[in-house]
Amino acid sequence: MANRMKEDEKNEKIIRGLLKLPENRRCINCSSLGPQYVCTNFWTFICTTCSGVHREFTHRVKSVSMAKFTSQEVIALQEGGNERAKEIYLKEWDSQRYSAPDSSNVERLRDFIRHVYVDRRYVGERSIDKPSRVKMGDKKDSYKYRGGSGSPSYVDTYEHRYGERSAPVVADRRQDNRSGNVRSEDKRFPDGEPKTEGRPQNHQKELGLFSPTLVRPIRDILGDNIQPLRVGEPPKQMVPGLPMVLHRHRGLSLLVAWDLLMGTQWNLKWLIQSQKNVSQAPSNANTVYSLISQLSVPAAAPVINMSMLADNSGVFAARVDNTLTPSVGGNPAIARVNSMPILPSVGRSPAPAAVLAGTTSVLPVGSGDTVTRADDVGHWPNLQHPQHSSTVQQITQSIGGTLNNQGSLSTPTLQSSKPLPELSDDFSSGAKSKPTTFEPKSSGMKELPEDLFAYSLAPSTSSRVASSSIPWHGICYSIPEVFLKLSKTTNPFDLNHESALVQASSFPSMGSLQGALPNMSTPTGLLRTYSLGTPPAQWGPPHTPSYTSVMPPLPLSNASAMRPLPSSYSSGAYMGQQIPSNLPSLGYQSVGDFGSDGTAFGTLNSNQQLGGRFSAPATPSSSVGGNPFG
Amino acid sequence: MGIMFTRLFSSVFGNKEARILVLGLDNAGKTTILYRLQMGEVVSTIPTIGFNVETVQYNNIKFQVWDLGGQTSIRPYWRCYFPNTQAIIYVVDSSDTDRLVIAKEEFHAILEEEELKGAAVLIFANKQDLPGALDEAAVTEALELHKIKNRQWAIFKTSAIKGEGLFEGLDWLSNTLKSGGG
Repeated sequence: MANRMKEDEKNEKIIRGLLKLPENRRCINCSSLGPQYVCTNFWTFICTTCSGVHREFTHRVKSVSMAKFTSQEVIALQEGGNERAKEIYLKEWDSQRYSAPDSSNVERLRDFIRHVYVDRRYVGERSIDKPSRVKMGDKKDSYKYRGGSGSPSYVDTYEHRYGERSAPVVADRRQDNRSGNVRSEDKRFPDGEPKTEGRPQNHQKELGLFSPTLVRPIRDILGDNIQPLRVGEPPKQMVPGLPMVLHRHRGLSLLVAWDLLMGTQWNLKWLIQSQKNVSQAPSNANTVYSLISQLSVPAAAPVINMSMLADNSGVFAARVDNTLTPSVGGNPAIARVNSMPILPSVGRSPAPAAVLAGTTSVLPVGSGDTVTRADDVGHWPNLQHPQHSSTVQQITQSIGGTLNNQGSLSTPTLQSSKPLPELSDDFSSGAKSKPTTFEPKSSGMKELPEDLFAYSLAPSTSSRVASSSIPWHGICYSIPEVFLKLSKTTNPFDLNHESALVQASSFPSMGSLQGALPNMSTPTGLLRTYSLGTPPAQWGPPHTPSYTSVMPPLPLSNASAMRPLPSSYSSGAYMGQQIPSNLPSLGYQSVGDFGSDGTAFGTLNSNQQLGGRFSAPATPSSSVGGNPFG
Repeated sequence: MGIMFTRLFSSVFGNKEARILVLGLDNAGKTTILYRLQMGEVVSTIPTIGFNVETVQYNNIKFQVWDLGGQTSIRPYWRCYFPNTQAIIYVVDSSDTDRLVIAKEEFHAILEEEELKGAAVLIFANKQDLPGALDEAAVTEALELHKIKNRQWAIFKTSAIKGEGLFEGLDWLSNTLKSGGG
């Protein structure tokens, strides 16, 4: 007995010593100071909040002070610890690019932990299922079946645990998202279109959450010297059945985009050439996103914004992940093209399509020949087909889509930034200054996408609509956003003007889209709620009094021996964990941006509003679709 | 007078109060069960240090449910809560097969307690939603429940996450408490 006491003491001493190591001084997940728990699945030191989250994933946690550790466990901890775990689970985590969650945002924390430990997204070599670094003998193995390697059981548990709850607590937003998603699914794929299950959605969500927060001012990317080039001729070859819309307003916006494209032609070519360079692929997915975020996000707060975004989009976007990712991943070229900030959707579309199709020759299209471009458009469906299964909502948020792509591409994040190394420096200043300036133009922004949308979409839809109603949706959305940014930087006023004019004409095309995608309206509604001012409310789910009401006086006098302060725990701890009101300034700040700063969601909102506007006349999509050109 | 009447009324109609302790190893799901019973919802929990207590009204019995932290170092403090306890809910993580032995030891240590002599024992074989979870027969075996003497006990398969089995257990408990001691 005495022996055992001694051993316990010794073990605790060792662990206390381990806690003093620089890496162990902070929670590995949220960097909170003074972690008090050990996750025995990964031998990490974590804070109280994270311990709760880990438990949700059925990871075992032990309190340093409240539990006893065996010598075996102590050895494992010595071999493990945060530093080691970071080498393994966060190997590919780029702290420059991603920002770690903080403990006040449980939702994010949960996603983070899921990504890192359950999905093992940043482990590096994917083929290696289990890192061999921790030797904990039998015990470790026994835990493993429940989760270490992201086995389905985890996710399932997690799924139903949180899917089911009607929780007033943290799960609120998630649930909303989910239910929304399900609803839309049902509508959208009545014909038994391939549905992905809950898991991928989750996955997707994660992806979205942690996509890089690197923001690049577009000016930096494009450079100041980009001159608007005129494209003299409209596309000569049209895909048969191309709506008139195309002709009508291939106005300024198109020109601008085109100009940009041409201006950066060499870039494109270079891209194409380097398409074999897989390592660079990831970067591209970034751009759209980063552009977006740049507008809205003050440098300090990108993460949160993203997370919110991601949350919304994640669920909606869930589908894309499976389908899109593989194709993107397989073709660095696609990603690459995207990464060229300059290349608007126009630039983007040809390349990926071509690559996918296996005909690189098409790529030169970028050279400025409109004709070829039309062809490219024709190719789109190839690219898009994978997205087919993606929910419209997801698409609606092109942001979400890009995020997702990004996430899935995440492999060499560091490398991806190489092409534009200097950007990151400028980023913070640029990002800060921009939001304000752009804000007033939000209306212009809104209009723009439509126009672009109509234009770029039209060909693809007309040519391929029969086969796929959804796919191009994604395209069109991503396009407008890029355009948005581009247009802003180059000659925003013209664009605004143009877009306003164009709007009417673009309408019809949108309508047709709408028709094709019945559920457009639903997603928008949902998105809206999230993207606009509401977050605070949602973040602060009704606090159930039951939590706080808990502590009656201790039953016995010696009950006070319980040091953990029951009262503070039950009220404080729970609140801290579940009530966003505790969110630090960072969180709020970002939320504010989100809601008030039209620009941030300018892109997003614009899309949404498009959807909303079009769907408004008649909710049933069919009716809207009835007069696509009316 | 009013108080008298109320007491009379409640004694006639079986409106009772019962003090229940929820015990079990750490991470067995005690807190989740407590709030599942109390609010009907799955809440996010963190390891309980100290206790949570809630009142659950069920079958005309007002259960005062104490959920005590289960980590090694604070298990000794459980005894502080033993007096005047009508029933124990012992929660077992049915999927944590490694620690079933420890769970068994703790369980039988509790049964030894003088202050808990008259307490009914309800065992929840929790986490049935997890793959690899043992069923109640296996848990019965592992906990050596057949060794229980002179005590009313029952075991239920539960999943706090899914909300399964919990109220069946409370049903048993309320029946037992009604029929048993006063």
